[in-house]
Amino acid sequence: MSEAMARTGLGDITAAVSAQQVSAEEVVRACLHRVDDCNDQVNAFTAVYAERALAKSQLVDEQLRQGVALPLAGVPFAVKNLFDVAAQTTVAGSKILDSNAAAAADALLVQRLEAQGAVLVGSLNMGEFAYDFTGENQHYGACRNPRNLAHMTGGSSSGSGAALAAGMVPLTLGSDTNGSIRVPSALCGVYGLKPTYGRLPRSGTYPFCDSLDHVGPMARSLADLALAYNALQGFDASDHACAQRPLEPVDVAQRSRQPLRVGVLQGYFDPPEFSDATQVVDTCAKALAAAGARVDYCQLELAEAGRSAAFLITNMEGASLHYEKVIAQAEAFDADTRDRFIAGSLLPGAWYLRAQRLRREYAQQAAQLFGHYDVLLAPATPIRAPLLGQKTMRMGDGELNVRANLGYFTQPISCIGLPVICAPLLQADANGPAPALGVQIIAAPWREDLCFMAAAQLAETSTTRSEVVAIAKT
Amino acid sequence: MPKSPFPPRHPLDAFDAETYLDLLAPVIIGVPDDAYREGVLANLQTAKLMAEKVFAVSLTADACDLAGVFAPIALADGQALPESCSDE
Repeated sequence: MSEAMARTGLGDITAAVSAQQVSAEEVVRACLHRVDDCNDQVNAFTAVYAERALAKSQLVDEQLRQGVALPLAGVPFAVKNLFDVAAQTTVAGSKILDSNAAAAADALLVQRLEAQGAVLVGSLNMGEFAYDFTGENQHYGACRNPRNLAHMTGGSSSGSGAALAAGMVPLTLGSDTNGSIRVPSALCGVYGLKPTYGRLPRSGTYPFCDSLDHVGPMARSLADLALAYNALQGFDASDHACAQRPLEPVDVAQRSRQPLRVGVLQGYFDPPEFSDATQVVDTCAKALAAAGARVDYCQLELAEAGRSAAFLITNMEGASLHYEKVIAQAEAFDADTRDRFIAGSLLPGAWYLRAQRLRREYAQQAAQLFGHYDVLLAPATPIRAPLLGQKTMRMGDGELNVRANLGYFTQPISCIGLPVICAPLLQADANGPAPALGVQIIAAPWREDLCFMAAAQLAETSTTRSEVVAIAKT
Repeated sequence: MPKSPFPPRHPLDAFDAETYLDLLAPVIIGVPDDAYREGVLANLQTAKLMAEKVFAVSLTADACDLAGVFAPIALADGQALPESCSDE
């Protein structure tokens, strides 16, 4: 059963469990079996909550027998290990936090999914304190890309991408400050949603950079992503950034009455050195045009400056958050994270303030662009998944640092909080599935519905798709 | 108006990562371990490159959003300011 369950989506699981053709407990047992089979090789899970998950699944079965409607009945899911899980210590990819007290309650988004019948099965690997694009972790080991185990998953929501691609769970939660949902989604070949800044509450998650932190779902299909997103929405006053907006559920079957207006981002987003990545965008633009969209080319003039602003804001807010720890216990940090936090704790305040001011100007520029376009397209990562341990990648005649630059295309978008769906484009070569690439489908603030609308058109033609990769038990 | 004795140049031109680290670290966070020096310097140099791109953009006067999510907290109707917060 676990092989079949590994490929089953949220809608089919819920339908089968709700009709009592299969119990939630059987689904969860199959999921735990799959995790047991795959995790030694993939290293996606850092904790598995078998006892809790089985107890919860039995409760779901009992509720269904009593006639309670549960829209996500029996759906197993897992969360990046910066989400609080009751009675567990939230480590955020670090060792330095592992002596902290256990969380008193689940993170709010975990509670929302479980209230609808989903079942938390475990916590997932991530880059230390989310300051990472690679998926490598000095403390818990590198998470490996199921599409090729010698390659990076991307990060920092590394386990969230890998667990989906390996078919360990059909739904995960991640966080995204500069690209940490979108980079692993692209490289592992799954769907990821970084909603508008302030759309989903971060309550009960370990922070990184308050000005830029987002949380969101990842899944293997657009329909699954929409189901999860709809279940996660809602205001929460305990996250000061959470906006008071009505629930705005999305429907992937919804069609625009007018042809979609699609802008293909050029300039910063179209460097000739990354032709693999830009080719992906061309492919999607052609598919959308064939589906009736009006496709045009455009520029976000301040994208590069915006990316730079995001770098400084992240570096300095992250350093501020960890200021005392990085001075007193520097050796307890991952070396790359430590050096960046030390540097960030020294930078001039004038740089930070200027970066925040630039962000406002840049957001105004983007708002004007959305007067002409419903969605914008851009690559998700500059290259396919690098090899584990790879430190640099080529850009023209030069070498770029991999860790900092896998987010080259994602960082300018999250800088101004725009909603983005990262959709995967898969390839296979003679050796099996090749590491994937992704496209960012970007909309104006609060218009996640347009991201889903454009993504649905790409999924219908199989331009974008995800798949479960076979992982042999060692 | 007296002429400045300094030639006009961008303030960032004066930023040198190595000098900055050696002068400021001892009085802000203490001298980092030698093993960390190379990594910290590399990050300071990257930060300078990023700052150059940020400062290269001319901003309008209303581009002032220093805390994107800050909202002033209003008092409830009829509630007086606490005395310690009064201007007087």
